[in-house]
Amino acid sequence: MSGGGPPRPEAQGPSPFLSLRNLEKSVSQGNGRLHILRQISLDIAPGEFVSIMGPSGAGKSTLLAVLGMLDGDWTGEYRFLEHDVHKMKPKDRVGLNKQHIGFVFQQYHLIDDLTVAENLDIPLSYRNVKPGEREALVADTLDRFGVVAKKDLYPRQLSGGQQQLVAVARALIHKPTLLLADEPTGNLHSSQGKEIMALFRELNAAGMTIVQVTHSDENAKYGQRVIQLRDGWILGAGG
Amino acid sequence: MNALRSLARTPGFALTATLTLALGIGLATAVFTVADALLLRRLPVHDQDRLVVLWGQAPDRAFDYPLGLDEAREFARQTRSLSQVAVFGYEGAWPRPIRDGDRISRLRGAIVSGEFFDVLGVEPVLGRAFRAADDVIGAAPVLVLSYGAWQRQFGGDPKVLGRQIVMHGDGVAYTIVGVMPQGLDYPRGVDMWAPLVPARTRPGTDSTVADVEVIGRLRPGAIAAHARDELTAFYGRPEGSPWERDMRGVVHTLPRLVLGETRPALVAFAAAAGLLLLITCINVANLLLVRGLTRVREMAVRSALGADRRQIVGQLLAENALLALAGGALGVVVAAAAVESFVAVAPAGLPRLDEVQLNATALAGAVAITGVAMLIFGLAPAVLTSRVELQGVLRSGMGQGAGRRSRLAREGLVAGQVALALLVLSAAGLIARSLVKLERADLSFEPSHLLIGDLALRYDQFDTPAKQRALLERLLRQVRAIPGVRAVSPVVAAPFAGPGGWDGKFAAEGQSAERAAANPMLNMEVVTPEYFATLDIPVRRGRVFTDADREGAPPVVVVSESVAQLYWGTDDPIGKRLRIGENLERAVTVVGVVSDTRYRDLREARASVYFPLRQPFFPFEPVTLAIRTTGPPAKLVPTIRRVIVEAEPGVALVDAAPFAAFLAGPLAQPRLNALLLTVFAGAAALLAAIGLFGAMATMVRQRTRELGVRLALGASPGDLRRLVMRRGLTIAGVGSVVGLLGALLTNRLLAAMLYEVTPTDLATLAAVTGLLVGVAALATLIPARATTRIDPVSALRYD
Repeated sequence: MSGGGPPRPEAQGPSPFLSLRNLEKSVSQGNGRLHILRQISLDIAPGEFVSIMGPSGAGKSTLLAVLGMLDGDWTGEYRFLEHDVHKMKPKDRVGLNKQHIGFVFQQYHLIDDLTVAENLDIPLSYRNVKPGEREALVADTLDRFGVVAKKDLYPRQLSGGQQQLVAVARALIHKPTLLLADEPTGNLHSSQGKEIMALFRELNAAGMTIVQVTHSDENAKYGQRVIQLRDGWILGAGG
Repeated sequence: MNALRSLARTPGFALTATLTLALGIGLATAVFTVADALLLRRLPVHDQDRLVVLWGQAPDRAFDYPLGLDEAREFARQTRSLSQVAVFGYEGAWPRPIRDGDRISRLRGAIVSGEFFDVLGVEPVLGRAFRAADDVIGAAPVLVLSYGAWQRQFGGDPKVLGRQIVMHGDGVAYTIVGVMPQGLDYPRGVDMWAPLVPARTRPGTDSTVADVEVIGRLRPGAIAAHARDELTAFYGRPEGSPWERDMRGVVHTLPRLVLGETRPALVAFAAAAGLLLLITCINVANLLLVRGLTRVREMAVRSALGADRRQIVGQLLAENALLALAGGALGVVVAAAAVESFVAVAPAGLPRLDEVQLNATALAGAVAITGVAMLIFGLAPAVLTSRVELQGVLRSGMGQGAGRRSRLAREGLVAGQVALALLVLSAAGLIARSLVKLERADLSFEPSHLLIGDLALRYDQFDTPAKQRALLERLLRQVRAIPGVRAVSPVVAAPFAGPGGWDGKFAAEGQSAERAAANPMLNMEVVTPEYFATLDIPVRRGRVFTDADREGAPPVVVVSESVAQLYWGTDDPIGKRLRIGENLERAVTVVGVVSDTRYRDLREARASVYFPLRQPFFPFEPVTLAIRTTGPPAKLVPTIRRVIVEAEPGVALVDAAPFAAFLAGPLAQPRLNALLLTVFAGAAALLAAIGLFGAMATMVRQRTRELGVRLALGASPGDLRRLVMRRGLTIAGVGSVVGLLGALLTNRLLAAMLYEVTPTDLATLAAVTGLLVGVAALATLIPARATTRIDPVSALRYD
């Protein structure tokens, strides 16, 4: 294991948006255990745009999954808004995820069999939004992201950039407070990537808290702070 | 070797496919075996389809009439459509007591004219057939055994020729002169044939009286309808008796008669087996298709490395052939077990049952079925899988084939399976419901604690109705006195004798001759006053017989409700008179009305007229006894036998059995139908469930990433379960709707096998649909629950 021991968490003010303390994640491997995240302590303030960087296998995406409450198999403390996530049951974590979190993936992960409009509707369908309201929200979002003309197309009929645009729209349709993005421009041409990052900056300016995983220094510059991960440890933070 | 290795790498798939094939091919083969034995196999006669059997029918088609012997001979002389003609006793194969030392048993005997076997064109396996000299007055009594009787009664002894069988009824000893080949089962159920003339010639006279049916061979160019029309014309000849003028000829081919009522059932089984095989093929095709899709990349790599399409198709076909061989081999084992079970549960009366065994023909059938199955399921996926766009696959690294269209195609196949399963299930449901209705049919008498037995007596000693009646009176007194016997009465025939009962045509007093001619034939019973109490038949009006209803007193009858309704409508039938006799010369007065019963025919309550035993009218008396007991009837049989033998040496009670045993007879075929179709339906539902399970499990596997995305987007595990369940139930629902439409169209073919259930019975269709959807829900539940194990992080391939 490399690294210079556990780094000190950086204070982010009196009331962080989310806060991790001594978070650890490991999985069994052979006779021993493989440590993926080591003593992660981290605070993110409301409205912050944070980039997580590091080499492959550093634990970036795992950390993102933990933050997004998709992964509940860890130890330590995780406080999200006023909630002690580490004390919550899985079902309640799903509830918190539904209420506050939107995801954007490197592979877009639009559902092939559904049209653009139907893809946008998915998050709403899991959130007890009334059908009429769902239709209105989908229409608004299509309009807001400029994809009204493509609402009846299937993902395979869109370019990569358009697909990611729809994926971002889908992540935001239920008005989350935290947007988590895993290599959002990883599969895009540079110009398409810039458009997506510009959109993120716009969202952040409007108050959205964003955490992205990226390999790109250029993309990291769109955020205010970079967290470097290596072998599961946080090396340091910068802005 | 490659194919074997490839299958060994996926043992779950190989096992599922093999077992599915074994089940489908096995059961289909079993039915092929049975159909081969009972439907397809030829009778051991020359050109069987040219053989026809003829008799007469009343204008209202209500009753079949035999011909008199002289009439039949006259018809044989006149016919132009038949090249050869023989006759046989219309009663068919009738049980006859035979005496072997002290032991009295029964064989079913038929009396046939000397030309019978020549007309059939059958060669005996042992000894000889009849000659013309056997069928003349005064000829030495001889008989020919059936193959089955030879095996059962004489253990297949090759020295059976020359042995004698003594008829208990008249003490005449018949010499066995031949044994006929296996499968010659006509008249149905026959154990032995005897020449007609010696058997029906009145002792001491040269008068031979017999009611017969005609069997003939069609002349080249003639068809069965020609023979029928000739007989109709013959009935209308001027010199014929007046009552024959309106009769018409009826003709059936011999194979049809030998197969009898089992044909609709066998056709239904064959259809069910075909459907089952189809479901099996779809199932395996689906399995192969799914497997093929997961191997798209492998196929693409092989193609990229130089394998041409023929080689790829060849490899896939080799794997399929291996599966088909394994499935076929295991299928033969399943088939053997199924055939064994079939024979074990088959009703005793099923014709040619002794020929049903898994044989070389059936094995060939299995191979043929396997071959067809292979073609169906082997080629399609092989061709589809080889049509891979190389570049796309190699570039994307994923099977592009697992797209929407391919998935819809596979789900369509599963829906098709569900539809086919529903067809078989609905057939089984209708047959089962019919059986339940038949089993619960109101007999209108009390079937428990009722014993039925036949008296075997020597007709040379009791040769007049008066002697027979006197014997009966003595025996009834003796039997009634036995402790445990509550009541006893003679009955015309054993229960459910069908055509074996007595029928008569009646006219209501005052009815015009024209209207009387249209009256239906009615069931007749000759009974003691105790009869109604013995059977516990409810009396609706008037009275039953008393001891005063004897010879010399005014002739009376009791009628059943439908008779009263038929002749007098709502008028009081008591005191009304019926006329009966060849010229309606005898008048009888109705003194009572009782319920119609199902004693003679389980499926239909018969309109009946009851005559008192002591007012002799018939040329002989009934010698079957109905005995009401206080305890279990079977226990009393030895006592009753002993009492009869002691009271009347030479008279024996034979074939005595509780009524329930007789009830098993008419229920045997419906029970067998229900059982076999239920097995088929169970297998079909199981296979459809496996198909649905496979499709849904594949869906969950192939859409794991999508399901992970949905989890990331806020879906709960319950949402995913519902997603899968909804998909599975939609497939099952679509299949059920198609199946229901199919059932509504095709179930009419089952009409002949149904009893008080319409082919479109909504309750049954709803029940089987509910059952199938329930099974589909269960089959979907497992893959649906598997979604809870999806880890969104892994599904999204983080890190």
